[in-house]
Amino acid sequence: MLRTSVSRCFQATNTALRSFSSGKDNLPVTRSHEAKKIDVNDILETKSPKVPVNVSSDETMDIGGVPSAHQEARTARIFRPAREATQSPWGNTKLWRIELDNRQRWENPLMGWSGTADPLSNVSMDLKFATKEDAIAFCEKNRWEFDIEEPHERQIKPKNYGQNFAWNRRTRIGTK
Amino acid sequence: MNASDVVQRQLKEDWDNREFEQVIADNIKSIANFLSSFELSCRSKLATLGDKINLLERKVEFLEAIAKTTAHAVRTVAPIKSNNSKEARIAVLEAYKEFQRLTPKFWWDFGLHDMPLGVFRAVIKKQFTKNAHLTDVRVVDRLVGETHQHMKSIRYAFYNPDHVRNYLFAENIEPKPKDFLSKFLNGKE
Amino acid sequence: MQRIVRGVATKAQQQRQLSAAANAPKKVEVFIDGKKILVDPGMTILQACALVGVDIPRFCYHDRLSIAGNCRMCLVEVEKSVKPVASCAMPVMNGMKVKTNSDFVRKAREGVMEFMLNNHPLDCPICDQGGECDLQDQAVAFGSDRGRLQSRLDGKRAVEDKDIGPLVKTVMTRCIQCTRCVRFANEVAAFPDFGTTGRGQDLQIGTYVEKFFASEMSGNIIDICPVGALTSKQYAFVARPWETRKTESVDVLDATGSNIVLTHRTGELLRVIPKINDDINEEWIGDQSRFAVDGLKVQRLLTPMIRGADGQLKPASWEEALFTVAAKLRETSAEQKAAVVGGLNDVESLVALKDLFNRFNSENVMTEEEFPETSGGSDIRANYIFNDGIANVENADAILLVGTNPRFEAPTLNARIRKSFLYSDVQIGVIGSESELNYDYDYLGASAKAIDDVLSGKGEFAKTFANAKQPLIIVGAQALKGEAGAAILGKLQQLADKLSAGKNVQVLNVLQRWAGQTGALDVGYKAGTAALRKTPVKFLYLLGADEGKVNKSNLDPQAFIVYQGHHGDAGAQIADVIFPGAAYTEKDGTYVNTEGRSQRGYPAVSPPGEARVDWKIIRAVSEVAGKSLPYNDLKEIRQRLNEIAPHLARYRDIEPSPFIKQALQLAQTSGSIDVDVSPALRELADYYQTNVISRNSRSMAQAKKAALENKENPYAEAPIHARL
Repeated sequence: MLRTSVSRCFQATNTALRSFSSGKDNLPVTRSHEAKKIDVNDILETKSPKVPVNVSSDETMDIGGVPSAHQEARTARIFRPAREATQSPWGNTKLWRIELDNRQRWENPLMGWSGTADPLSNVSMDLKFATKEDAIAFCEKNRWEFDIEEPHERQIKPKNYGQNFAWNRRTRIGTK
Repeated sequence: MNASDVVQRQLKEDWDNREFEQVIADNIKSIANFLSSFELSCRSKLATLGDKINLLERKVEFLEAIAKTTAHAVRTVAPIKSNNSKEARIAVLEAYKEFQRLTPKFWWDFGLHDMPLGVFRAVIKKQFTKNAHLTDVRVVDRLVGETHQHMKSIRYAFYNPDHVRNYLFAENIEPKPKDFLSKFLNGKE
Repeated sequence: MQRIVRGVATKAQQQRQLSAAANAPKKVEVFIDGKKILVDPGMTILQACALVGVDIPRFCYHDRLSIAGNCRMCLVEVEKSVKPVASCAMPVMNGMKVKTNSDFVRKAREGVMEFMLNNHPLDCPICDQGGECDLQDQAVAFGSDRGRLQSRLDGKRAVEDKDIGPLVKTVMTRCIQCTRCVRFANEVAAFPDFGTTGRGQDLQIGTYVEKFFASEMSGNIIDICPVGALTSKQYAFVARPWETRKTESVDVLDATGSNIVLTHRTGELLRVIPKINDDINEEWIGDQSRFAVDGLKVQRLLTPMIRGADGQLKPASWEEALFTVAAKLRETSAEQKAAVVGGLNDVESLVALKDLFNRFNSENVMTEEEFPETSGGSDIRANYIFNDGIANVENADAILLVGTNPRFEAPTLNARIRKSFLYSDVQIGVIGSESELNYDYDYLGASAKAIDDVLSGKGEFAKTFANAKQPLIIVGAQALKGEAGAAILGKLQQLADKLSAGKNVQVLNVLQRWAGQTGALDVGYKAGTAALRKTPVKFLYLLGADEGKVNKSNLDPQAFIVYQGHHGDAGAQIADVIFPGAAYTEKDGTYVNTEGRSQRGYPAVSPPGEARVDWKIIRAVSEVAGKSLPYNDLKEIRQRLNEIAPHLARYRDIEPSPFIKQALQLAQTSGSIDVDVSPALRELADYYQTNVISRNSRSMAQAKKAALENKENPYAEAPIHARL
């Protein structure tokens, strides 16, 4: 049902080529002794002055060609993740992360996979920021509202081995 | 005979008058009914409008607060392609005209001729006018470039007819509910 | 819009900072990898390194437990020492130079790791801890690439699995004998039956004789164990950590508002683990909070239901249900309407319901849980919240518990009381039931008359209490019921006033039992369903009210009852229309804990079936009934919350409560307080199924059964509370 127009385009270009290579000269001829020096500015078309454009912090959404499904106004939560309770290291808690509001996931009727209508559901997965301000700038760029959670800093309370053997305190360990 | 004619005529006139009066009275009653129901509906509509105005006022305050506090870092750049909005406008109009010249071929080749060509031209026009609010010259330039790419793709038949239909009529396929109650009854978001 | 959620220093932190600054000992200077820092002299090298940002690998050391020093993974090189030094146990000394990454240290770590892996089974593919295993991570980071074990010739040791109950799965072959679980059981959970048997390679960890791990904090040993020896039976073989998503939220199964992390995958909630919050729950959560989430998949209300003419509930569509309810709402007059809310609701739905009722000129909104109306009732905030803050329990000198069993009502608070008991000389007195708490206490009697004795100074404990520098009274919300409750509150406020003179503690703290109670009282609900019985009610709206406080006999015979909640329990049984709502893991809600701290819970999954978020249901009812509430999305209803009470939007902060003197003036101090204030939860079997979610949970039912059977176990002795 679809008729291609490629051949027609090709025909059009061919005719142009043909006219160029013909012997007939429709082109103006200038001999070098008749050449006159012309100023460059006379040949160039007058350029209209550039009107400066105001750039706002969320220009990427308009200029960048972000698809409309991604341009919904969401709410983001900027935080530093908590330490995994099941492990002791604190390495993953240093960078800031963004979490968007969780949208619905349902079972796809074909294969039973997890489907969602949310194109931004995986944004929080690997997006990490060095500072809170970077995360805030990202949210502003994407036109998301955000809540910032101040991180709970790790509290290190001094402990010593001797309190296991204190004779008069309840921290004495009687068993192993 | 004359007297009975006259009487008949008078009777007829009388009946006509009565009928006329009846009709007028009915009309007056219907007007009165309409006015009272109109008053009731107006009152309820005014109440809902009042609520809406409250909401909007609150939103406006909120937006004013945002506009005052958040400092959108304003810097200025020189546009790349079109130097000012006049040139951008010329580019847009050129692209539009070229697209409309392409439209009959587009319409026929992609199997969209279940609608009249005029309607299809209006649909294409809508794709242009839905961006009428843009003022940033760079965005307009990008969209014009996109249009040229679309035209090239159409000429080279890169698109599939079903995808074209989906893209052009996306809003009509499943109009998303806008007000609270429809969104609530429709789903969880 | 940005809203900065402040975690401003609580009173406890401020106090600690002040006291720290006042008597700060001279700091010692320590050089760690060339970096010089100044630390307090009581610290260990490992802690000093943590201050600099150097995380030394360890298995047996844990921030909240005592130091054991038996894994030897934390060995570091200290300049003048020939042997490597266990940094978790060695205190810092002036001028110490520590190297945490030299060749010597690396060789030591590789050696330790090799020994640990020598007897460790090759269970990674079938072990639940894979992916979140300390042993795996440290073997990769600090171990050598090859081992020298000839397993065909020497073999590996194996240990039998121990049965410690239906909640914790044990595969003791994987145990690396770090003894974290033993120290936890002994120190935090007060279950001294968990220990080690044998020595050397034959060391086995367990209860020696098969016993149920009879503690309400037993689930925390799953988090503590660095390997897969102790894992969750509910979560066995379910998922790997890298395929799950984590959502931080707040627990509502008790009133402390412990912070939790919901682990979910593809729209299904898998497990709940605690999140560190030093002000509330430190690193622990109770067993109910952890394991009762499987009750969220069972007995859920999935569609709106309407009771037909034959008396049976039939599924209906949302439109039908909304219209039915809206019509009835408009028909009944204001005095014949009432709303009763349960204890698991978020503040947004409470505000929406109250707004709805107010639009229909009714103020008849009440909570199931009672609270007296004297002393200003729920108008004065200091009357019903935990005024001093949970973190301040650590600094207490003397604690008086009245009518409460914090062990089962708020296990994380009890853990803090136990912590205070271990680390200081706190004296604890209990008025209520003589049940096993995790600490030694003076039992002052079951009747509230004992408060009079404490007031007048009669008895040993009363004298200690009067002389304490930071006394604390914790009264359970259950004890403050009825006439006697008002008198008890008055007497306690008198006592608190006498004791708080000149000290910076409020002394009197109320421990609520329900997560939604403080929020409801903050927003303006009346406490207690007594008002229902005064006038016949024709329209009753139950919001998650499942404790059976309202029967059909209390209402007009033709009453129309609407139930909105997430499980089909007592409330849904008597209802004429059912609205399916969302549970706490499925909605974005604000919860106010018993300290008055407002916290935000985030949804991990969406409500099942046709269920919707609670406040949206109420908003839809209002629209269909003709009086739309003025908010359409979460932001707007949060603005409404902010209008009512600004602290509801200031998350994670405690507001100090004023008007304590005025409350005392309004207090009723006459009246007999000779009532039995024994709390309802006395033994472990009572703990497991106290709210609608845990009643429907299979793991909780199994745990309750195990706890009941444990009472007949001949080897289960009465535990030793104190260690001195």
